[in-house]
Amino acid sequence: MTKISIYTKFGFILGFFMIIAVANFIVISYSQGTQKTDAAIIDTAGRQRMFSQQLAFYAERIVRGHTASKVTLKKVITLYQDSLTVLKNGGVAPEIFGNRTIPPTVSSILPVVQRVEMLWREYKTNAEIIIREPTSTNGVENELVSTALAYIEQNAPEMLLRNNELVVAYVQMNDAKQSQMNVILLVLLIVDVAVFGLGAWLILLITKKGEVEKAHTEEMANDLVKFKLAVNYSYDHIVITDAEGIILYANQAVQRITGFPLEEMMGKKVGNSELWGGQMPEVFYQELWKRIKHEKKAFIGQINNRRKNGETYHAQVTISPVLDNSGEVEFFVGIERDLTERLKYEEQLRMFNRAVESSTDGVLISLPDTTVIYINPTWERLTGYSRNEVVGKKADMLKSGEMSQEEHKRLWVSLNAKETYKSETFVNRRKDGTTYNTELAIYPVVVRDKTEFYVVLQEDITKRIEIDRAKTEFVSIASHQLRTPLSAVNWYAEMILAGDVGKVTGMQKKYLQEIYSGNQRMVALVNALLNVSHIDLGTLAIEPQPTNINFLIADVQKELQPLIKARRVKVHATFEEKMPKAPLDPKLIRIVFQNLISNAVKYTPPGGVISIVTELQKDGVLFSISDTGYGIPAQQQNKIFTKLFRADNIRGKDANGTGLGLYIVKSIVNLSGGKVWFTSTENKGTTFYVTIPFTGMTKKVGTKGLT
Amino acid sequence: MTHSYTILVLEDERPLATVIKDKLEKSGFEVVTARSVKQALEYVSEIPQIDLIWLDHYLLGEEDGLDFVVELKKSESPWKHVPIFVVSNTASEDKVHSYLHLGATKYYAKTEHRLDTIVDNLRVFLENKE
Repeated sequence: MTKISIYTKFGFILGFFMIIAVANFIVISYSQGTQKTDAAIIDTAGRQRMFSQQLAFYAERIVRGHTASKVTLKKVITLYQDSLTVLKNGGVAPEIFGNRTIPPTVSSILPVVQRVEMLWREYKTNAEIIIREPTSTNGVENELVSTALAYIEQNAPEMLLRNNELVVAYVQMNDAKQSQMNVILLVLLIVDVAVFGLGAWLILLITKKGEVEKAHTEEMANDLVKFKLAVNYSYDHIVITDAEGIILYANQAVQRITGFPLEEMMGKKVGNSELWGGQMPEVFYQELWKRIKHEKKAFIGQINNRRKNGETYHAQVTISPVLDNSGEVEFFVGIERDLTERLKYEEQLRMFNRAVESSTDGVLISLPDTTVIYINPTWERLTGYSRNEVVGKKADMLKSGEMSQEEHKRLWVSLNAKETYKSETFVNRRKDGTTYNTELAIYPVVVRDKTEFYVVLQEDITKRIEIDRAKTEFVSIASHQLRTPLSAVNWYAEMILAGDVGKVTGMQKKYLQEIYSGNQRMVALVNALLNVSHIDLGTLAIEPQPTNINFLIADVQKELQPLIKARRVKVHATFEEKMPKAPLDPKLIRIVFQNLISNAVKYTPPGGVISIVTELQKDGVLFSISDTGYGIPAQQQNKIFTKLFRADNIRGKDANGTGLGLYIVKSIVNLSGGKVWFTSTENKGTTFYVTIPFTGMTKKVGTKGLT
Repeated sequence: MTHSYTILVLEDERPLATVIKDKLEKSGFEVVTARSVKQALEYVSEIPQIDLIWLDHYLLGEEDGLDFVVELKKSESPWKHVPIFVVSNTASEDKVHSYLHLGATKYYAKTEHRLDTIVDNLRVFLENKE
């Protein structure tokens, strides 16, 4: 289309120019056609005739040829023409057309020259007189020429162009003809301009129209490309069939979803089992066909199809008939959406919904402004409020008022920082006024740095507390039951040994000592077991206080002085001067030092040295204790922190231990966020290290501390 | 000889009660033993002078040592100021706190102390009180 319009444009331009050119040519030719080519010279008959013939001949040639000469000669010719006229009038009858020449006389030449002069002065630029020296010695001729020349020299010397050539000529402007020609030329010019203007305008119009058309078709072409791309890359399966259901076009998604390559499906009938169809009962396809083909209406529904690999899938389908002008079906456009993903998500959603609905924790979901959007049945049960009473309202309403101010503040500080908040145990009030113990955990759901929801989990810990209490009570009773007979044996043995019930002989004393010390070991073991059971049961209470471990260690050292003295070992302590206070439970941490220091003392032979060091580290405190004792055998080192383990090399030695101390130490150190480890060489010594971070221990409401 | 102090021993385990009484008597104290709070309260009302109470936590009957302390420390009770030494094997930290908070003078864990040590401390305490 574009190409044709270019040619059309070009043709138009060309045509217009040609028209103009031709018109100009015609008009100019016409104006020229009226020019006469006759000439006359003032000369004797014979030469006159020859000259005029020559002149005419040349004139004609020149008129046909060279423009400049033509112009000049035109004038020359009219000159002669006029001369004939004047000569005729001045006594000599001019003959304009033909070859007749009239010999001028001396008296008639002057008016001719004067007339020439006059006309020259009037139309200066148009007049030209060529005066040529005559070649003959004819007296009349010479006289004519010299008279003319004399007159010109006297009156209009500027008329002379060349001195030595004299041909008296004559000019008569054909005024009418000239002005006529002027008019014609002017008209021609106007017509030229008008026609040119019209032509240009028409060309512009056509160009514009052509461009508009071109733009329009380009636009249409682009739109079509766009639509084609849109259809081709649509996520949904789009198939175009003819009125019989033969596939004419299928987009990329069809291949992706059905697994069949596009080439395989062209020309095949859609809906048959050769491709992805044929999974539905026959009646389904009949109904479908009836609707789209005979009723010519769109079919919207769901269908089961089968992929090339045999996998069946569920799809949402819309098949629309496209009708031609006569209302007959021309095409069918079928769009299918694979619902597999969606069904999967729905299933997952149902699963999560069920999980939340049946959770034994109360679940509440709210918007950032605490407006409740969901609570699960457990929450309803715990608080006594039903869904209807709570959803849509602000969650603060549910606060029983038993949460302290600082706790409330802590809650909002965490939530505003988009952090999880875990509450302490507090008492909540139900709708009916009864109270129960609970703990809350609030999780902000943050999307792109903005809190979208709060998920609140509430745990009814009444039962948990009851269980903990029961556990503790059991441990307490068990410990009491265990300790009672131990106390009895202790004190009875003590009294006998003290001689309170009679004299005791040497052997008896010895044996009684064994009973007594055996019993002491039992007591230590029971104490350790009880501690371990509390640690394991998680019923351990932790009450952090700002604690300086240097003081604790010094205190423990003092407490162990009897043992240190008895073992005859030296204990040096180097304390970090600038020891800060860390939030630690002093009772628990004390046990760590008690165990480690007494171990070092117990397992170092007399004369040995024990060094204790505390130092500050980047984010915590390092405690180390080195001894020159028995060490821990290499192959047993990995069991050192396990319950009831005692290494072989110290079993035989004169030192007692429960095998539980290090387990307890490790548990307590872990609870404070620190680490414990050691290095040891058998028979050389052992060094234990403990790090405790400044962040210390978190408060735990337990039912018991350690013994 | 200075007058002997009378100690009321509340202990439900017979063997322990015997050895405690024995030791205390050998140390020159007068001893009265009771096995339950009810019994103890009766003795307290009957006996003119009780200088100190040796109290175990677990006792016969429903009430335990804490109940006894509460009862004794009631504002109208004349035995409000009798010092109480709790000597028990109970493992609970808060029980210890509770006793001391309620007004018990001292707490001993049986298995951690020699009998003679406790008795000596007892004597020292009573003598200093004078």
